[in-house]
Amino acid sequence: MDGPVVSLAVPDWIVVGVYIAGMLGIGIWFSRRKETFEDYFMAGRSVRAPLLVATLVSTFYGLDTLFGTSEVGYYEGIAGFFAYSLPYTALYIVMAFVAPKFKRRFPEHFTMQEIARRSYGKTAGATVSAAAYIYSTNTMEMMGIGFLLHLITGMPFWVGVLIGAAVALAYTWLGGLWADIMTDFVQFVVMMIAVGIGLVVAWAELGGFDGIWKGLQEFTGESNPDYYFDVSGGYLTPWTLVAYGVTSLAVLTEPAFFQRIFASAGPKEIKKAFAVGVPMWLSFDWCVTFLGIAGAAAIGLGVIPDVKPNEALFAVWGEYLPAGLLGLATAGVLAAAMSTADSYFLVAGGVIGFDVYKGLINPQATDRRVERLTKIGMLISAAISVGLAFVFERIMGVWVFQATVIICTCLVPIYFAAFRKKRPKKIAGSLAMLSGLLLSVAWYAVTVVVGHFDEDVATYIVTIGGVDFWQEYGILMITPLVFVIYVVASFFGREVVEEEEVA
Amino acid sequence: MGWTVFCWIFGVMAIVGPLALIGWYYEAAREQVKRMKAKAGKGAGVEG
Repeated sequence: MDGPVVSLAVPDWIVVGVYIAGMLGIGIWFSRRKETFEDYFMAGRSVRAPLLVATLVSTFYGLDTLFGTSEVGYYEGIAGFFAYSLPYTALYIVMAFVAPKFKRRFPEHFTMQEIARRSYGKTAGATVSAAAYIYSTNTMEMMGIGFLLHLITGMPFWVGVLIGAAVALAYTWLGGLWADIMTDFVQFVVMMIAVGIGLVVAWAELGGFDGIWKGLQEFTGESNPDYYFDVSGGYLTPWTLVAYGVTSLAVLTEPAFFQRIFASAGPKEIKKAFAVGVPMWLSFDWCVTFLGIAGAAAIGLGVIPDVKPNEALFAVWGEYLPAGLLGLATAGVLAAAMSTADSYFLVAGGVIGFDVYKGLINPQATDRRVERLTKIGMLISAAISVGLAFVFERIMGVWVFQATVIICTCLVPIYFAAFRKKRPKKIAGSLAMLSGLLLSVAWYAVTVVVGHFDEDVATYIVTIGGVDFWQEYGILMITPLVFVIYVVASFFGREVVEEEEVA
Repeated sequence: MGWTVFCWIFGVMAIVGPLALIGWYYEAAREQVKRMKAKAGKGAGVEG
């Protein structure tokens, strides 16, 4: 559809306007109350559990989850929840146990990249910084905001992308992590309530399960579309489930999570935050998946027009939510995008200002200088994010690339550095990280250049010796290789000594 | 029927969960804002 998919009434626009003004106001307020770089980038290391819950949940859940998971629900039913979302939940639970240990082990650290630099030296620090910068590029969110604003206003995609980038960048630039965290709470509440109300209302209005079933029969043209309520979607094998689920390992090497863990008031606060956050993540995933199913059924019943799969969720809201609530839902979608975009702008800025400039170039740099370079890093990241939004065609394609890079580069060396009792060897970390980064970028290039895009499984596939290799398999192949490189290299070279750790 | 019940449960969790956190959040945010204001005041005193 070229025009808007839903029409907002005046009360809806007021809700959206208040939301955007509120975000900017919070940024301005906090910009006047920071003194040091630790205040700006780590929120003074005093973030308590309720604030952590909101920022963890809303940062990791952006538009890729909202539109991507609902699209899977639209095509494949509950597999969207059980096959795609549950692996992430499992890793949030793992992180609930691991994250407090990181805080105890590295209480004064700022970033995950700092663990690499202090444990393995500057080469490793630079490599992880590159991986974190690539990971923190906000292309998915920029594409999502452009897409959303096009849906509700009909404005050109590129105008929406620029507006989204400008607002998220403005308040984060001004207020740093505090502005990010405070706005995340508002965004967390709005986006959760939006999907909750959306599902309850749509499910009831469509006639509950019986109505949905009838709609799915009409939609698919099949008398028994039971695969919509089959955990495997009727076709997923255990191997394809592993391939889809493997990107969830990114939870363990998520730079924004590490920033928040180190910014927290203590390990207990982190535990509490994950304990409350996991049910929130679960309910969000469930609501979004079933809204996708409801969208397919609504098309079958003729309630909404035959929109694109990723527009169905919004079209259902447009049909059933009254004025005001539809504005809340719109603000909720914007919130999902902005809460993720702002966090990654800040992470990317920190890579430039803190990890690269202060960590590798000028350790004596003043707070003021580091903050300035962090802001420049944010600006560059925003420009790259906006630019790439016009290059990538598939939202999920971006995610697979970024997840592959961060997992392959960081998972093995960072966890060895944190939890192995023996002192780490410089060469092991440096070689493992460099190999992980280079191999993951090379694998992505090979799959795109040599492989072909398979519409059925929505990914690039390279056929070697009669065997199909999906783009996602890169993580499964490269990570064990990095592990072997790390272990073998650990027999050589010298251990990192105390003086180097603080240098 | 089972799916409908779960949709209600998760839908209500998504609505009530964040609302239940507001009080807890408000306390934490208020405490933080107070601390920042006090710190800013103290800083101004020292500079002045």
